[in-house]
Amino acid sequence: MHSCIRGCLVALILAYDLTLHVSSAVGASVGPSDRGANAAIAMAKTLRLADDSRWQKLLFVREHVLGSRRSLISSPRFFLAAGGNENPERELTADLAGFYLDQSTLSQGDLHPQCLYPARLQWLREALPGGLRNLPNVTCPALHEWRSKVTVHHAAIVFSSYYANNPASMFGHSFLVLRRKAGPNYNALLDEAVSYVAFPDTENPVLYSLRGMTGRFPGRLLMQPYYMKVQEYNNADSRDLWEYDLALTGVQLQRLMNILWELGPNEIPYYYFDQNCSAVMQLILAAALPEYDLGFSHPWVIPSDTLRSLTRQRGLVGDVLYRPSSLSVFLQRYRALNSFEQGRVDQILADNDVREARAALQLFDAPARAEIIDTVLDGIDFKERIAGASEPIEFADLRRTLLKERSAMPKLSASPTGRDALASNQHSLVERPDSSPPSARLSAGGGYSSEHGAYGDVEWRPALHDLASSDFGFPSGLAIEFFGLTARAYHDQRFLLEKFILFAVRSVPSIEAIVRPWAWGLEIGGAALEDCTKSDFSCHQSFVRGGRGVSGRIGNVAAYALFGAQTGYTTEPQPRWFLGPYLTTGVVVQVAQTVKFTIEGVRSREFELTKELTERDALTGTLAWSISGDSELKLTARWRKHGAEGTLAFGRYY
Amino acid sequence: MKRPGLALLFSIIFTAGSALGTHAMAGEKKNKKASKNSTASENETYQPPYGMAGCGLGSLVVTSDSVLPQLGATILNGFSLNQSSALSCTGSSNCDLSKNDLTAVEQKVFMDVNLGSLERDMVSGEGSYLRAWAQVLGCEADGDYDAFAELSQKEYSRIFSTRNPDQVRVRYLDALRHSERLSGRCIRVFEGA
Repeated sequence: MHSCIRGCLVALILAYDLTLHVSSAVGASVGPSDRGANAAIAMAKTLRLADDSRWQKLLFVREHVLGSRRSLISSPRFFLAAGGNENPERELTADLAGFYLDQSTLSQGDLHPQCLYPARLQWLREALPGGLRNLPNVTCPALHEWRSKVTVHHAAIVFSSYYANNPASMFGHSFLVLRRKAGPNYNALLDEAVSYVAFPDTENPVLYSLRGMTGRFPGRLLMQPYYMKVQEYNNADSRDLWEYDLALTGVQLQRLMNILWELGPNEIPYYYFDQNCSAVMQLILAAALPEYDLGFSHPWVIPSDTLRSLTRQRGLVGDVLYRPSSLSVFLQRYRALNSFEQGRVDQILADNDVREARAALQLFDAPARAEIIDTVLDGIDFKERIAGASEPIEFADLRRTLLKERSAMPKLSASPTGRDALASNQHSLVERPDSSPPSARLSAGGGYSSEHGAYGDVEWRPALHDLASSDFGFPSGLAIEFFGLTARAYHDQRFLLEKFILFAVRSVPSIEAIVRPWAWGLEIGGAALEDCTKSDFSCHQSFVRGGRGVSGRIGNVAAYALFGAQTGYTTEPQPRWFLGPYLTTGVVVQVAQTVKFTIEGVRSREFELTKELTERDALTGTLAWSISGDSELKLTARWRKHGAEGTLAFGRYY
Repeated sequence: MKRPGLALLFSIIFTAGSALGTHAMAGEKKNKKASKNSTASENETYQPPYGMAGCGLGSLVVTSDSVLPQLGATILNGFSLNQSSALSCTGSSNCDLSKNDLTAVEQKVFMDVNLGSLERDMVSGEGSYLRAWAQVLGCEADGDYDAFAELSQKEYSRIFSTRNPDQVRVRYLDALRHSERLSGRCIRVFEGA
């Protein structure tokens, strides 16, 4: 295997040679001697094909933050022309010349531009009137072999749900699945998944987050059997997967495959915010499907926004399939048991004793016993994160015994709550991740403060979700806020930055059966101080707060309490660094499907060494009404030591 | 470097966030600690030959040791997107696997990656992993799957007397070869594989 990889690297170097070869050929001798190439180049210039958005999509040219336009691909192998990543016209000319190269002049026929860039060739044939005339016949054995092995009928984009326990994966993940033709023996697990993966060179968490955000890790497309991704997300991370089938025509599918072939060997630098898995998948689909408007709605890219960009296209998304995580499988099966059976499952898992388990199972007939064994095994597999060939540790004996016990039972009809039965396209719209509103929110409102009188607020937040807002498309009990800004103007024309949230996350999950996760929160930002004595209101505090605690849910009511600490810099009562305890407790009530009531109390103390500076307690109640999928009305009341205020705000997601 | 200040700030956030969020599941920490000292049923610790890679900074934790085999698995499956790999591995002597070898690698990879899930399907005699495994072994002809599922459930204890994936695979193939009903029916079960 390693010798094979060494061989691959050699081939990669050969490919760089080709770039030089073609580049020099384009510059020196190809043009005048080849009438076909010259005619095609002249026609492309006349038609200004280099400015065509479809050409630029094939080159993955994208407008960057400072206004420059260049390809997101950094690998020179992706371009025949020097500087082709910044100059689509130069690349177009070089590619056309390259397509007319005599294959016999190359050391390996597979390195011919027609073999390397079949998507560009396909498009230029369509875009030039009369196609590419007198194009030399070229044989591409590797491309041909790949096409014959990867027999694709259609494609799907897969969303892996938000992951509360790793802040870095909170926004979800997306990748492509290439589906084979459905037939009597079709099994989606054997499809091929194509994902954009970064390869880090460090395991140091600080270094890898630094490098991950600054494009220091090379990213590449990776093709794996889909079952590997299912094991990774469903079982190792316990994340639900949502598969959105795309209705592609034969031409679109061919374009997609050609684009994947072109991109395959090239590095794409990874940037956490705007050049991530979702951005790359969206750009691939935008290039393969130029008939649709699959442009980005924001400079940053979030997987749920990519999903929405697809689902809003008429006729593009077909079936939506749900593949439950190990946690979802366990909970669904557990909920289907009666309370006595649930009690036995709890007992078997709590005792973790083979003899006790056997005794408990004797109480049931075969079908019930099978359901209980399967539920216990689901619980063990979730708790032990059984994925791949990983070993159970805590429940090793119990798992082995129950598996043997189960194998000795006669085959029963498939459980309606088993893993495969749960995977269906019949899930309610509310749970689908594309049913969440767009990531960014702009809201405006007005209110009255008992201390300072009337005011107006404007809030802008690029991402993503808070506990007070509707849970459509989000897992309940998870809030992720990034870069939220609230500006306030008082009636006497005083302006201030009321609040700034650089990053905030709050996870207040439910407790059910053996699932007892911690609640936790982290918040970094700043806020105006209510006890400001300065006439210009220039009293602010910056802070980092974090805490852990407990949470739970009964019906539509969830409650949580977090105990933690804070540190930061405050300007009141005097400019000082401070630290102190920070306690949060709250209740969230889903009053109706579109109405939510939240009340949260905060107790905080600020100390400078042992000297107490001040205490800041607050009680905030919010009533949120989700008017439509994209807009909401919020009524907020807040009580603090120095007074009270109430705000009514209208928010629009975009 | 693009946006270094923001990056520094966020590295602090992610580090702090990881400390609070990771291992939030009760009992998980204990398991992870235990896993370092664990042994498989035949005193072997088995590491799956692929890395877990994906999106988001959390999934960047792919050790260099796991990356190459991960790529290797896809290359050997003949499904690599890497043109260079395809160029050098197709037809060259060190990469030219016979059909039987390729099938064996596919079956090994499947078993490495799906052992725990396949085990669950085997004991209940049904499930999508069992069906996929039957397909990988070529046990797809009329009625063969039912016999395959029945054999899998019946022979579970013998096949899974170890949890080493390769040994499980070998015992599985052995059981199929010796099955009166299925011997010679599974078209991708070769001698010596």
